Amino acid sequence: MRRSLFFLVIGLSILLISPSLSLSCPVCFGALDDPATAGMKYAILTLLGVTGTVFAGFISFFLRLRKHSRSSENTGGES
Amino acid sequence: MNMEIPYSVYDRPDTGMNNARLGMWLFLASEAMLFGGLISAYVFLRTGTASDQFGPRISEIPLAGFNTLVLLASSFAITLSVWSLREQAFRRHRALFGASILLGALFVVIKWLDYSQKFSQGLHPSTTTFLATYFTLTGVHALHVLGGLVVNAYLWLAAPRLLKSEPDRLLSRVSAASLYWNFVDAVWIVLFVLLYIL
Repeated sequence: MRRSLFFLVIGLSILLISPSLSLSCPVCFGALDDPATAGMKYAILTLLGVTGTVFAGFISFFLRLRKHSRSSENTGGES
Repeated sequence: MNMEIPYSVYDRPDTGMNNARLGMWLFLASEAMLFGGLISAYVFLRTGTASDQFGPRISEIPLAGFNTLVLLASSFAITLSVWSLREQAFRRHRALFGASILLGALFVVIKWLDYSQKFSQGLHPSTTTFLATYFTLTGVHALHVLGGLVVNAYLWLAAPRLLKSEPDRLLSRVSAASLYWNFVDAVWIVLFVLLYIL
């Protein structure tokens, strides 16, 4: 376990030290006017919107649970 | 050993819904992520590539518009059928549920005709990027409609037996199926706007 962790740390360090491996690809880095960059932006925003909506659903569900739990406590466990 | 799954029919006091409905909501959350990923890929390809590379938008708005109305009517019918079942109007429920299934089947038939027409004109997913995304998005959606139709048809056939033995279970199942069907309808409206209008 320790041995594999050691090799993992060494491998990650090499990746970070070597600039050619750790730099972003030209689509995201240094090509701001490229249509692919603009497309990527819109795609990320779309996916963030969907993820945000699903997360909002989960949060509202947990809030609903808390509300139910509190109302249950106030009525002495009767529901 | 026969073990009953708790709260599969009656509402849990803490969540305010039964586990069938809760499970369906979780399933729909994962489905939203699936379609979200596909739509995001479409947005990337549409806005990130030049129009001559993306290909012309070959889509017939009148046919797709009619199909949208068919699916909306199907969704409306299944919602009314759940209300009818709650009011214990079983005959009305069965008629509306049957109508919803038929309208869903009509949607698939129209989609099939649309695909056949495109294939006969030599328009395949490999023809342009637009067609690749079009067939992927609408195909995955059509598979969801087919899956929903199979479940709905099973429930429609099993309804008389379930009504006699476990009427509350029938309501719970139809209610969960209705939730799924409305989701499929909502996804189609998003696809219609993206693929045909915008």
